[in-house]
Amino acid sequence: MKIRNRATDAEDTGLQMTPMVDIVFQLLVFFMMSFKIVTLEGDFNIKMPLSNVNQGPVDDTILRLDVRLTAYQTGELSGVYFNDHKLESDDPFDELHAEVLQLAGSQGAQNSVEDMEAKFTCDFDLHYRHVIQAITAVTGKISEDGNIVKLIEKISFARPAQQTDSG
Amino acid sequence: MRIKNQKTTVHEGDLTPMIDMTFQLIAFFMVLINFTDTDPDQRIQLPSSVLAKPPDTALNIPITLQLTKDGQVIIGGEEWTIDDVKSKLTSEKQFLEYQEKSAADATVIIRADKVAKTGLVQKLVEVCQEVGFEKFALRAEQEQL
Repeated sequence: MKIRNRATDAEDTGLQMTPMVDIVFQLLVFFMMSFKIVTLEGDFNIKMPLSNVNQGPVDDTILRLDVRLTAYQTGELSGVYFNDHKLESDDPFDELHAEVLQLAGSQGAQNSVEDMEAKFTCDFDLHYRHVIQAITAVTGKISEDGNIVKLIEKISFARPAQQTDSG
Repeated sequence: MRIKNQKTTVHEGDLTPMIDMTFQLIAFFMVLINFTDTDPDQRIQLPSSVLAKPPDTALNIPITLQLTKDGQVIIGGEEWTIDDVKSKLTSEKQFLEYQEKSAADATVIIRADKVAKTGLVQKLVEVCQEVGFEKFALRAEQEQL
């Protein structure tokens, strides 16, 4: 008597998963290898046509603020000057920020921050991070709710001073 | 007559949850991966700032210049000195003009190392200005509060 094994017929129709799992793992490895953890980056936008460098016509409606950053020969910051007076506190960038805030508040109705321009004069050897610190201090602040409050958006650079403080 | 069923059953684990998870992982990595032309150079450590937030809209015509602390300029993977970079920028300008755009429309993104000399950054900006570029973006890393 021939007995037919019905169970074997039923199992043969099963889907072959192995090739798909192989490919899926290949894809997974590819994406994992290509994945890079990057920190978020942002920009400080500056418009500087060539005419500004050559001291073109001066717009009288703009209130110009001079920020001077001096450096030791090592490139570390030696002093911050705001409109020719030295900021003496332990954190000169905080003081610079307070000065800009005060000026923006006192000018109020006549000169809004939109009519102000900060001109940076930096020593040649100064480390670039100090310039970014200074730009951060004059261009805005983070409010309590985490939003950015814009201050001075117009920024320009004077030609760098070659001499640096010894030390 | 008793017939013994000799069929050996193969016990396979249920692969479905593993495949589900694997697809989830693939989807995760696919969404987060970004193939950018201007790969950030690992030699450059950007200065950080609390105000450096990623822009809401992409810049129109970005040209990224990376300045190492040694004063080398990297454009699209090629290294240049600041004195030689003018020729490269001029060719970029000519390429823009060929596309009926001008250098003034482009934004030069400057990714300078945090200990690079400020004078070199300014020199680079001046070279760009001489070629005709007007808009600059000084790039910084977002500082966590």
